[in-house]
Amino acid sequence: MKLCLRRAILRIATCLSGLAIFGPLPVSAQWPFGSAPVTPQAQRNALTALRSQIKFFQNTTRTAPNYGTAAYDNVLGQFETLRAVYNGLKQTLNARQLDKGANSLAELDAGLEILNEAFTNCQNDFAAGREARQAIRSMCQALREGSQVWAQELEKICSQLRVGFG
Amino acid sequence: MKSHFLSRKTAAPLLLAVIVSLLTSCRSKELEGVKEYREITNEALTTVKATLGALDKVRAHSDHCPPKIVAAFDEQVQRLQVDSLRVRARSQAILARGDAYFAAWSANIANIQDPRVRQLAEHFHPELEKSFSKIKLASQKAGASFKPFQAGLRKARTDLETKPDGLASDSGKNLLEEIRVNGEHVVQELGIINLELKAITRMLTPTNSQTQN
Repeated sequence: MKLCLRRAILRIATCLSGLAIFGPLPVSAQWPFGSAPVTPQAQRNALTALRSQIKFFQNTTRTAPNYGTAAYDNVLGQFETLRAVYNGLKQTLNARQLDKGANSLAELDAGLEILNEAFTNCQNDFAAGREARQAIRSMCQALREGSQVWAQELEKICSQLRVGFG
Repeated sequence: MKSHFLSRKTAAPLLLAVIVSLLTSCRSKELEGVKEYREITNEALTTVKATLGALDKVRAHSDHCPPKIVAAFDEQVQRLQVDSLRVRARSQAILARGDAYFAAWSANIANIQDPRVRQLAEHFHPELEKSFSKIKLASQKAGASFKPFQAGLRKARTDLETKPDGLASDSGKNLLEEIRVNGEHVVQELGIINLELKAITRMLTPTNSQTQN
């Protein structure tokens, strides 16, 4: 009886962890009421949300290879959320920050475009006959390590632009 | 009076060292952007060259590639994607923003605290613009070669993973040759970017005579 109960709990826990990994992310990507407020507090909130999403995305790339090809859509979904949260942060920047950081922000935009190529590369690998598991693993590794580099640049640029300090 | 923490003899060189370090840190901060660009270009150059090295090992064993060499090649292809990210992002930003990129960069230099650097930037403005144009062109060419370089590497990797002699055929050998040519183009263009960045650094570094003035 006890064994059955343990097994049931274990099954529920497995289902819940699966939901946690593949479920939608409770992060609002954009300010839902017209244009975002351009205040230091709004910048801090948006930056915190972006940092959380980066962590979440990196965790997904760590666990996703265990779920085979089903992981592709999940990683892609998390990446699109990351991009939306980043765009949300940009909306909170003031005119001076946008002007001073125009080059740096263009680099961050380009960085996300390059990271996005990992998905196309993975699709091309599938088409070329590469084993799906290996293709997904390579994609996740490139995205995880690439997003770490991108996150470092983000922190540097946010510090230069004094994001969150007005 | 004996209880003075520092005597004049020890305080003077210490003060001098502090001033020198402050001055050098000021100067390095001002050209930090150029220095950083050189660093990321060098990082990408090292990775592309290492990838070409791994590719040469595959070419030498294309009839039957040992698993160790295949694994090293796979690792290098992965590394290339990540280690080239920053330089590719910068190149894309330069191409996307075009002249606006240089204008913003010039404006940042105009705000530099050191009047000597500002003066040099103003004096060498046409040369700096010329260097920037060369960087833009080299970025474009490097990007154009990087895409087929990376695509070829991925194709070669898949062929090798499927069969150890996957690149033994004539088409396989041609693919390896094409990858090498594209990789060499990338190295060449990154080298041009590096040279121009060195020229910019030289232009914006105050000489000793200016420092004394």
